[in-house]
Amino acid sequence: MKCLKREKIRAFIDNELSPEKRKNVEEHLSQCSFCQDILRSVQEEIECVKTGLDSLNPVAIPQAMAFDTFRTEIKKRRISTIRNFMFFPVKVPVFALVVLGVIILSLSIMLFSKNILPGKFDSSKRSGLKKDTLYLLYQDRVHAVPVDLDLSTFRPIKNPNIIVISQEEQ
Amino acid sequence: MFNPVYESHYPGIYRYIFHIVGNQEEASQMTQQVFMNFYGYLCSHSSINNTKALVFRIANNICCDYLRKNKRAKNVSREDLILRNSSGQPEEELLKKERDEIFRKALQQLSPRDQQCLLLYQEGFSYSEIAACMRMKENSVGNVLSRATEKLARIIKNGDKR
Repeated sequence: MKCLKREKIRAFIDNELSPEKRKNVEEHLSQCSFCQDILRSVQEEIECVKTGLDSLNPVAIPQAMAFDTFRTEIKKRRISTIRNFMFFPVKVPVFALVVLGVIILSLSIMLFSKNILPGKFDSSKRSGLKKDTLYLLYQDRVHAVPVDLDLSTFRPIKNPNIIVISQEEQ
Repeated sequence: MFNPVYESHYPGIYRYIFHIVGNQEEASQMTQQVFMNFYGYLCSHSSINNTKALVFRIANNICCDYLRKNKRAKNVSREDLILRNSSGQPEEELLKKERDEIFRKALQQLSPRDQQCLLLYQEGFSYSEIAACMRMKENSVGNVLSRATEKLARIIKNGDKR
C-alpha cells in the first residue's frame, strides 16, 4: 500500500474518516514507520496551533447585550439608515405628505375637468360666452372667431383638435 | 428563535472575530453587527436549516469585509512590543505577550480562508460544518486545514529561530 497523504492522516486524527478508511489507515500505520513519523509531526502541529490560539483567546468576553436592549439598538440603527438614505436628515411626517398629495391631485382633477375637456363642457353654462360669436376649441383652449369671416373660403380642416363647440343664433 | 441563538453563539462569534481582528472594541462591534444581520435574515426567511453555520457564515462575510478594508493595517513590530511592555511587568507575562504577538502575526500571514477554517476548527466545528460555513466542498476542508496548520507551524518555527 502507498504511503498516506498528510490530509488523510489529519482526517484520521480528527476522526473524520469512514470506518473502512480508518481501518485501512490504522493497518498501514502499524506497518510504516515513515507514516508514523508524519502522524507524530501532524499531531505536534495541531497541538502547537491549538495552544497558540487558546493563548490568544480574549481574557474576558464582554457580556452579550440584553435581548431587549439589542432590539432597541436594531430599531435605532434602522431609523438612522432610513434617515441617511433620504436626502434630509429629518424624519418626514409621511401622513402629512400623503394628505398634501391627495389635495393637490383632487384640485388638479377638478380644474382639469371643469372647462378644458370637450366632453365635460356644459352647454347650459354659457354665461361667459358672447352672442353672435363662433367659438372654437383649439388645442384645449377656447377661441372666439369673428362671424363675418367667410368660412367657405377655408380649406376643410382635418385637424381633429378643432371642434366647434358653440355658435349663437344671429 | 433569535434569543437562544444570540445567547448561545455570542461568545463563540466574539472569540472568532477577536482572533481575526485582534481588537476587543472592534470585535464587540462586529459581533453586534453579525447578530443584526442575522436578525434581518430571520425577518426575511421563514425556515433556516443550520443556524450555527448561518451565524458563522455571516461572521465570515463581515470578517472578509474587514480584512479587505484593512489590508494595509499596521502590524506591531516585535521590537515595539518589547519596548512597550518593559514597564515593570513580570517576565513570564512579557514572554507570553511576545509569544502571542508572534503567533498573531503568523496567523495574519495566512490567507483569510485558511485563517477562518482554522478558527472554525478551533471552535469545535466538524469538517461538514466548516464546509457549510465556508461554502466549500467537504473533501477540500481536510486539505485546507492540513496545509494551513502546516504553514502556520512552519512560520512559527522559523520565527522562533530568527
